[in-house]
Amino acid sequence: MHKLLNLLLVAAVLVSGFILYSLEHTTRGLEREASKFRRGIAEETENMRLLNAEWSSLTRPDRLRALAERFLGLSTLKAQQIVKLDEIGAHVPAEPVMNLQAEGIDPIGDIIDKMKQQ
Amino acid sequence: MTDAPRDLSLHDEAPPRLEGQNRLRLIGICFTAFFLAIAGQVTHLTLFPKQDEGPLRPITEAPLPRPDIVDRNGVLLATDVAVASIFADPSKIIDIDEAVELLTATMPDVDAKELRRKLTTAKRFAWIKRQVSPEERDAVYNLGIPGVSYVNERRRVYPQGRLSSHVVGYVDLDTKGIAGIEKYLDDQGALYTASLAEPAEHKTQPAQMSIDIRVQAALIDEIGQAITKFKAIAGGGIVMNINTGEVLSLVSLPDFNPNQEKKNFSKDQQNRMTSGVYELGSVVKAVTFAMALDYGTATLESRYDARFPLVLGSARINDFHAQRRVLTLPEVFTNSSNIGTAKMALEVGTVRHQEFLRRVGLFQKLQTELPEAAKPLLPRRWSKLATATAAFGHGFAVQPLQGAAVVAGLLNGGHLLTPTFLRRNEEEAMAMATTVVKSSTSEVLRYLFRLNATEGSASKADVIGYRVGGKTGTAEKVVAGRYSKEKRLASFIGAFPMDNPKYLVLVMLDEPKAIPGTYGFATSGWNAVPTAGKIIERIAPMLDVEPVFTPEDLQKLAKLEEQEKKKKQN
Repeated sequence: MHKLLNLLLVAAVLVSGFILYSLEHTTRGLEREASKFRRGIAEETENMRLLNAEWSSLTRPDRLRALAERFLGLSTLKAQQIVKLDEIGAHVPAEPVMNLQAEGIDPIGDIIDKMKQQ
Repeated sequence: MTDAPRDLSLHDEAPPRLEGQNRLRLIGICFTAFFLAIAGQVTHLTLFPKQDEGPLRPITEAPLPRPDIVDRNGVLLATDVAVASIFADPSKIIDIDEAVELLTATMPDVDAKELRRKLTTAKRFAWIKRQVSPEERDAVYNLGIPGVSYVNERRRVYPQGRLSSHVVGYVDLDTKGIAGIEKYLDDQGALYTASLAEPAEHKTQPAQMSIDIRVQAALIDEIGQAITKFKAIAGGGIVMNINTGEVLSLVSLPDFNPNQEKKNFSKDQQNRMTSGVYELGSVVKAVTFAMALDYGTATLESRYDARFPLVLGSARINDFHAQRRVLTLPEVFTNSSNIGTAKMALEVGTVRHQEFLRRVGLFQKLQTELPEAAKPLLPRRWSKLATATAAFGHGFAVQPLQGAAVVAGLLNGGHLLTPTFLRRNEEEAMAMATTVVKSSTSEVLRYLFRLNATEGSASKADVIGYRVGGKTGTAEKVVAGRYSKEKRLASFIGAFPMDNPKYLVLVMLDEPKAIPGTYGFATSGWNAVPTAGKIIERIAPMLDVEPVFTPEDLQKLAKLEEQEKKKKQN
């Protein structure tokens, strides 16, 4: 009877010891992984800051203006170029350069139609 | 153990059960104690977990995390980026020649001779290279030279460069704000609170400014062009929201690049709009008109005799564009008559004149968030002559921003606001505003401003469609205690759209010269005013100001179009 109990207890010690050590082992592994991720996050945050700064520097209004003037031939918007949506009809040429509606694809026309409905 | 069976045989008589029970009990106690110890340790580890393993390469923190600064649309104006500084402990370096060779191979811009000198002369510490990128840092780290290490630092960068120079300001090497909004943030202790909130992570709320970087870019560009075109020595400009007092843009040229390594800026690069005081000249007439109209000593029907110079004691007040006739009040405004304005101020009287100037805040120093602020320069004795000259802006000098704030207050219905560089909405602004003139006075002033742009001296700023109104000013500069005839300060203060003013524009040019296109004139109407026109044309669409055309406007536009067509045909 006692022998059996002793045997069981010894087995319990071995099993629980094994479980404890394997648990600790995985915990250590996870901790290492977590700290790796944390470091990765910190690094990525730094990269984001750097990229944000770079983006802000690349989209500087004076730079964009210079590029637009040079490559797109754009210039300052004149007041008379701004037309209200309900007056746009008066500014459309009599014969459209391309009849997109007839071809069935007119994305900009669709947007205007939608806005008119609202 | 070998004795044990003998023991047992010796004590045959003694009851063996009892002894066995004792032994069992002993073993039982041992086991229990063992398990209790394990259980105790497990509980202890669960309740008080050990510190997790730190990162392999420790990231040292900056002394203070600074918040990012963004403009009103969220565009980044200032941020911190990680940099590393590489240093060496020469006493630990085994082979200096090899170290020098490796280091210069990884960082080609490091001078080999200089590095060798540093490593041989320094005992325990020498900087190899400061503020390198993370890639370069890793490359050096991977060389694995003993005695060579790095320290992580943070560096403040201003991605918009000179666009943000005066308003955002800059920090020193220890990332402490020493100018502009950067200094304001430090003085507020905002940084301190931010660092307390989340000390471990560099997560702080960005500080949002009222500046619109697109407007700032337009202003800086146009004023820069005007300075070159009119050979001025300096210039500046302000765009302000009239109803909230938010400064959308503030430019002072020459400016500087806040990213530059050595911040040894000259006095010439200071912020003229707040840290300098100027006699604004005729733009101050707007204040005099508001005062006379508000006290009721003048109405739109009042007439002023401008046939002869005004003589006060030994001084004579004359007009620049002398009309030599009796002028109505609107004519005094559009012709910018000194005689008429001086007479208007004298009717109000010296005491009430001073009282009014004090009420609109022109006697006190204007202090906004920008630490750089200058006190106004006032006449020492406020005599009748002082009133007469102060009426048209001679004899007292204020910050240009202060002048803009006062005119904004007079045009927005009489609510004087302290300008701000941070976000503020209309309700907050109105809650802190002081009423300085009646709204009817403000209405008349709006009419005068608009009239001056349609047929007066500010007509070159009248961009068709945007209903501009404004007042020009050409002040003679004081050189060696006397007013100079050659050195002038040309300025323009205007607002648009005049039927319900939203934005104020101030343009100032220091010592503009007459150029071939201006028929020998160097007055404001020929330089500051057209510059303001160009600025308004650029910024109005950004600020959602809807153009409105009157039939006359449409006729003018049709004419312009025809002219252009003819040009093209030729």
